[in-house]
Amino acid sequence: MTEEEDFEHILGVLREERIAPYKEDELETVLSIGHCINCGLCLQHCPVVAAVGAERFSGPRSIAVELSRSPPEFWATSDKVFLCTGCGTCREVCPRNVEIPEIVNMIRARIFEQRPDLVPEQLHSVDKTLLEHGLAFEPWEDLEDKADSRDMRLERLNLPFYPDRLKESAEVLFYPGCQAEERAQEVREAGKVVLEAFDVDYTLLKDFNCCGLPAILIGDGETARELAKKLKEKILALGTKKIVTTCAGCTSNLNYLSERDGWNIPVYHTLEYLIEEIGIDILTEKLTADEGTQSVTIHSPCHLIRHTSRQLADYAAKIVEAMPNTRYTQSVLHDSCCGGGGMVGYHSPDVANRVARENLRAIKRTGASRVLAPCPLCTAHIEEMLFKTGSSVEVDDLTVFIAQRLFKKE
Amino acid sequence: MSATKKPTAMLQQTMWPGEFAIDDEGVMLFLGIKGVPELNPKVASKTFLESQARSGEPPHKAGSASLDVSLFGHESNLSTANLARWLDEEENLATFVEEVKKKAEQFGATYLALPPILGLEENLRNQNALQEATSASVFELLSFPPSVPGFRLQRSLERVFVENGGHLLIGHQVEPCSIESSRVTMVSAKSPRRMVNISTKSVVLASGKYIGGGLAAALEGLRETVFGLMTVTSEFRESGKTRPQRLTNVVSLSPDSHSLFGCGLSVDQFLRPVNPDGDAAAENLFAAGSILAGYSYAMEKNGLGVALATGYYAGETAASNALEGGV
Repeated sequence: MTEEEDFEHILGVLREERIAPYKEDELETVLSIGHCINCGLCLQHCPVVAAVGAERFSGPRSIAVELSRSPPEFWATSDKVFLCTGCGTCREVCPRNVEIPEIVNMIRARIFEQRPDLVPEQLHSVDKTLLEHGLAFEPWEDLEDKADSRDMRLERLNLPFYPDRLKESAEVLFYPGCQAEERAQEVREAGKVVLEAFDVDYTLLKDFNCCGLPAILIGDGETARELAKKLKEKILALGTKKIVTTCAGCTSNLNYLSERDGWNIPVYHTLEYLIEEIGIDILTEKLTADEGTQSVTIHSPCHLIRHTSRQLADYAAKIVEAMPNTRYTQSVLHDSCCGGGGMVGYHSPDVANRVARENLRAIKRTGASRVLAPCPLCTAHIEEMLFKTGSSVEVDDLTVFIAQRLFKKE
Repeated sequence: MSATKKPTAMLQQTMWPGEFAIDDEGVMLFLGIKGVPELNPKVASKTFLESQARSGEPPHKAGSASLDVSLFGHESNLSTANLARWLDEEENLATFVEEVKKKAEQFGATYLALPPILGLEENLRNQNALQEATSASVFELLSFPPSVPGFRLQRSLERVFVENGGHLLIGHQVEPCSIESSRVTMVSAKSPRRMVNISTKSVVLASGKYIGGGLAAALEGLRETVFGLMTVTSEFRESGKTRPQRLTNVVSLSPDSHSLFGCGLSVDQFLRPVNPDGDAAAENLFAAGSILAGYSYAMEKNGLGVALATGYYAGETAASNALEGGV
């Protein structure tokens, strides 16, 4: 038997035992588990444990220490591991840098591969959409209806419509993300308004596809890699120098992909692009005053602050504080998960809603009449929760709020 | 915890039980919460009575009881942090006060000891509400780290820092840095997807010991992880080439502690880490907390005291160095 045949034989035995070898890019994560000192800081800070208790969701320490070390019985953890919202609080407070959010994704991937019947059926449905359309949401059947919906939103928000720019070798690729592409179209248009306001040489993708983050969270690693591969081909063919997105999840995932797959293209969230590439002084000059004073607070999305950098929350505050007639009050839980992440809301809305409840209390305490979130997913989840509780507090995506102040209808 | 007494120089207001000695007829009630493992009220009560009998100090009466708050519809696996957050919400306080009051009346309690659950933000309000309702002196006991009083202390320190113009960059880890021409002019910090470069006039190194990551112990010896500074043993001998095993005693619970726990940085009078020749490694680099050599937290139990005292002094000196260009 040759060495290769030996290797294949061993792999065959492992396969029978349902033991999946780790992939090259998983090794760092796997090794980080060994650093856990069982201090319990993650458990005390986890917003899901705080919202539903450790009986329902055993928490990050349990996932890192116990659940990750039981191959091939990963499947036995499915009732817990799919309840993680992936906020990354556990990794941030961990004194030993254990990559708990990545471990959650690895376990989900093994469950998806070995026991797909234990993956919540709602996630299979999203996965089917990803496979069929390369998007996390069903695309509109009638494009005219889609355009009508967009125009209605723009009219309500007093935002202009700029036709899509599609060109090669633009300086910037604007990547709105699935939510803004198919659902919150006002965010996609607001992103364009911001770039137009500063004469940025930008383009959109002619044939948009998802960055693959939802597939990672579902556990479908194969689809995630396939989507990432397609996206890389499209982006490299365009020859852009920078990528700008309005989505928090896309910001962190595109940054990850750019590094992992060697795109060598920096990825910015709109807020980051405005502060680092445009500059706060130039932005401030263009911001117009709103009628009457607006009292606002900001929600800081996990994928921006904990999966990318906390600096982005500072950038958000800096921009809002520069807006005329806007009074900003920080919520004590501005950086706490809204419950909308990790695809939890798809199959366990009670858990997602209980996590959000903590946030809503803190938002109400600020006395603000409007919440701004630089992420369409957080915006939608917080908006839904506030509506359900009968609150009069309004919610806007922060890019939309900025765009409204960069554009004045004649 | 087990209700043993610990000496301390400072404690949080909600952990202050009042003067036992002035109330000879006092009754101490240890009130646990079902599902919270940090306080076993029966054991605590027994230990406390034994201790009082030995010292002859009042109160001489103690009892124990447990409350069922069923926070998540069951009474297991509750953490003190969960309960503290729950009690921060005013709507939950009235029911809790009512339940505590019933127990206090049942025992005629004049002192009421709870696990540290009185809130992360509203602990004083909650303590007052309980004291008013029960007429007892209500206080919190210690718990294992990470503890609610620890979270409160951290929040307070961070709040004061920010209110005084400080900027917190949470979630970033410092990268190895260099000292050039006896100065630290740049510190780099990394988040999951970003690197931040910070120009520095003064730097306080408070990176902790082994758990914090400030010191790394390998077979070759002990290493300071950010600047590669000289490390010393608790006897102030250079430890860069000393195997960590040589810094431990044969007896695990030795009254002499283990030298390994006392290892760290040797500093000058301004808390600046020094080189083997005794000179400051950098004129604008200061150190504070458990990275300092010469004390053993495990044996002396003075970790917070050293952190507060050296943090205050190092911060003050670093600030004056930044403003005035020298110590």
